[in-house]
Amino acid sequence: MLVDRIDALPTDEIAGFKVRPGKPLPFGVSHTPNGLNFSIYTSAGTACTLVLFNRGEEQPFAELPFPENYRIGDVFCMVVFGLDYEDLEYGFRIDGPHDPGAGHRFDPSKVLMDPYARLIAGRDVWGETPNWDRLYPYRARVSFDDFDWEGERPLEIPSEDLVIYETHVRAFTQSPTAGVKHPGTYAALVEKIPYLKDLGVNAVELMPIYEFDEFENSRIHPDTGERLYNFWGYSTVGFFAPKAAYAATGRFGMQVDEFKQLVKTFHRAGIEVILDVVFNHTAEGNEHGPTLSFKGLDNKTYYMLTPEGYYFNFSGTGNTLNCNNPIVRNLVLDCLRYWAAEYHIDGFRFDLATILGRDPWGAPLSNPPLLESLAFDPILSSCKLIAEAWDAGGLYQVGTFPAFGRWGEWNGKYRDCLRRYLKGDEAQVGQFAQRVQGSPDLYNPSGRSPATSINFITCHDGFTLADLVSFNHKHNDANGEGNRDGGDDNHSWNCGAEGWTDDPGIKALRQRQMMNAMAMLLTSRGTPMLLMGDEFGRSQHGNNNAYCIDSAISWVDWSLLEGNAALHSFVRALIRFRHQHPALRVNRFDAPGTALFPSCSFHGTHPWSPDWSDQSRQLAWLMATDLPDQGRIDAVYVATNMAHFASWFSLPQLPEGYRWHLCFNTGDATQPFNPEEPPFDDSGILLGDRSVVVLKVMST
Amino acid sequence: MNLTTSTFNGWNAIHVEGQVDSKTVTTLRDYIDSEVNEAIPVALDLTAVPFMSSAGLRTLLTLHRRTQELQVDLALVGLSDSIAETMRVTGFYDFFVIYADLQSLPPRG
Amino acid sequence: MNLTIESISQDSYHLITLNGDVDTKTAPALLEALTALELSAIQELRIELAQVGFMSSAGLRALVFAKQKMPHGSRLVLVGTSDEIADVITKTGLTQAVTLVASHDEA
Repeated sequence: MLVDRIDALPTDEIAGFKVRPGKPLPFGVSHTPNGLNFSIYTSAGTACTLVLFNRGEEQPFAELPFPENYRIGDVFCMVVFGLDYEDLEYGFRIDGPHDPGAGHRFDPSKVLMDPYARLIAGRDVWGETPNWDRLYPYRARVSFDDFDWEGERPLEIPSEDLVIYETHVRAFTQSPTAGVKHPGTYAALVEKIPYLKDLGVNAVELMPIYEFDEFENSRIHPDTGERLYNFWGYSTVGFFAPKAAYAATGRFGMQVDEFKQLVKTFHRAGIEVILDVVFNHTAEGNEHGPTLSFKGLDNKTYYMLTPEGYYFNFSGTGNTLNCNNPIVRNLVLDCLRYWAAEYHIDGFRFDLATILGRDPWGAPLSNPPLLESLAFDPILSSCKLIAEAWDAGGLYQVGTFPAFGRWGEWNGKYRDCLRRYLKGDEAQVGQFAQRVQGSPDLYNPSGRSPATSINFITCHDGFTLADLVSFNHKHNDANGEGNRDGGDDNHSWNCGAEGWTDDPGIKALRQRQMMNAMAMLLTSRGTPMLLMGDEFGRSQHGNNNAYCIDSAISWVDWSLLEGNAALHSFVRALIRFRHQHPALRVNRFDAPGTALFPSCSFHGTHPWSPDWSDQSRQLAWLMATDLPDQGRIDAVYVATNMAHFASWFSLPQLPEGYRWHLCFNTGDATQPFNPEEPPFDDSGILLGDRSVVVLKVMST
Repeated sequence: MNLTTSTFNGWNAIHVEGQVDSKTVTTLRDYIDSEVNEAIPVALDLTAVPFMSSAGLRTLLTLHRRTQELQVDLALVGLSDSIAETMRVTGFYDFFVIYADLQSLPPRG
Repeated sequence: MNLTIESISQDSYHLITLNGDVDTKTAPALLEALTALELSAIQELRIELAQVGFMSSAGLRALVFAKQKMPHGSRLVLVGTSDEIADVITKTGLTQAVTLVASHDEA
């Protein structure tokens, strides 16, 4: 039943097109009866023109200047009738002062992309060399937001129950060994869902999928002649659009549907989708970088600028988005709300998040308005918010990130401590005890919970797990920077030889160390995160900074799954074990104990007396919780021996009616886990050198 | 785009020839509206359709909804591999009953 | 240096006699010999070490492995261990798991 809407009819004509004054909201382009509403804002621009292209054509077919009466405040808005929404590509020209010293870089010769573009064309095929002379390279198009979710919605899995799997869309399936139909795409990631479900992870964290330019800072390797790219994608072109070149249907412009279908399919499999989002900088670089959108729309608003008009560089990449400027704050909020509402995204991990807490001149704010807005936004209230709580400007806020009780943090201290304990460094035991509880030293004073701590040993930044135990030094020659790039404090140990070896003793030790790392990570309280492929020994051949590599070095090699089946089964069993034991997932620091044991207690080779000395390389923890609904307690004991000699651990005594069961023993290479979890009746257990043992308590 | 109808084994077969996109969907939709009959199942023959855009896929889905409402069976016939794959990847595929060709349609009285 | 391994089942115990050094190269053979046994059913395993001059951590690991597989209440007896090897075994806490004797009479 159609009502005759007054705004279904034009009132004017511009450049041969029927138009009428538009509505400021929503920003960007939206459907109206018979027309399309275009809305764009600029605080310092003085005039705006809507530029219209037919799909793929170099020159526009029409340019419609916004009349002065088509402006509300700083927003230019217009409804245009009679456009083919599917064929259309639109942009804007903005006129204003060109005065870089005052922060203004208006240039009406440039056609600018709508910052609110929800569908972006022009770069549909990954790695296809762009036409650098194109008038309008990133082309905003009209998208549909009518996807049929069939009742699917965000999963809202409690944070403490998550096992997160960090993955890169292209790297995950680009290799021929992946055996998928559309390598390197969202569709291929969906094909791997059965694998991920079987592994047992219940959340994937996708490295940046917002439209970005893989050719940003692209260069040729001086020695090999290979092209290096912005492979990881930590730089944004369009905040509201999924990267077209990651879509199997990207060349048809169907990436919106394809990505929503991805989220829907993951949700049906019980797996959350968390996006790695990059609000700290854009692809426009500094004064030497391209003008694609923000720079030409409202440079002074969007970027942190020095008093002379140069670009602050807290991201280490050229520019820094001015996140605590109220306009940019709204953009960030609009963006996240859009992804949460339209794409049903379960959470966001913020790259270099401390930038979000800096004021327009770079100083850290004690109560950053943006972080507060995000923490209390109604649409985002069920979304996980995770901060990488440091930036390239020296601001390290792990533990002090302004959380408003809501944010989680990548716990870099967990990573470092676990790595050092793993390789047998001295003076680690005391700190490690804090880390396995969820880091109360960092998060309890501000009243937060263990799940705040995202525990990890590896992530995209740094060595893979296999390389962590195979290299003492980074080997980044493939990056073409003379091995000067990448961090040097990897806390890695090669187990006796650098890189590839055929020594069976070293290989066995490396395998055991990887299992040790996984066992300790997955029996720590907090929220564990794994790096793609670590579960079957993925290697980047010692490259700890593969941000620019698009090759077999960075691509996941699925053929390793066969040779490393033992490691894979072990990790799979650990994940399963974690899901089965609430004692490992308790989300309170001051949790009450059980009738049998306190919530968390530490032990050494003798129960109840851990050795906290600097020379100690042994630590055991016993975690317990009551399960009143099931009328029982859940208790798990983990003993770790990182010394180079075997060690006998006397077990805590169990009262009548309870028995230990042996679940994991990394020291037993033939059977590191026993699915039957047989009873274990000895008063103590022998741990081999560098081994981890996991026991559980059951009533008899 | 060319549209014709025929009957086949008790089905009302609508033969579509040409691309289905924003320029042609209205024609398709109007044509189907006039052809869909409450009593007879509809087979949409897409053998001669080389490409369907987002708008085309949406019209298909709307058609599916309409026929469900009218309790008329709808089948898609002769989808090319690439269109079928596109539909799978974008989530449109599972809504439909699909046959390789007209001959595969189960006869209806 | 080579390592020879003899594995014989006696009435009340199983005996493994070693001759040579147990190091990274030869430990796998010891591990293999142990894996071949049904350790979960052995109440007493004796390892004759009188002719072993050197035992590396790889060798000790093989012993740890054996003890872990043996049933509750079973015995792992090392016969004729040299002072050096006995020293290492004591330092690593393995004495909790093994019994050291000078000869079979004392076992």
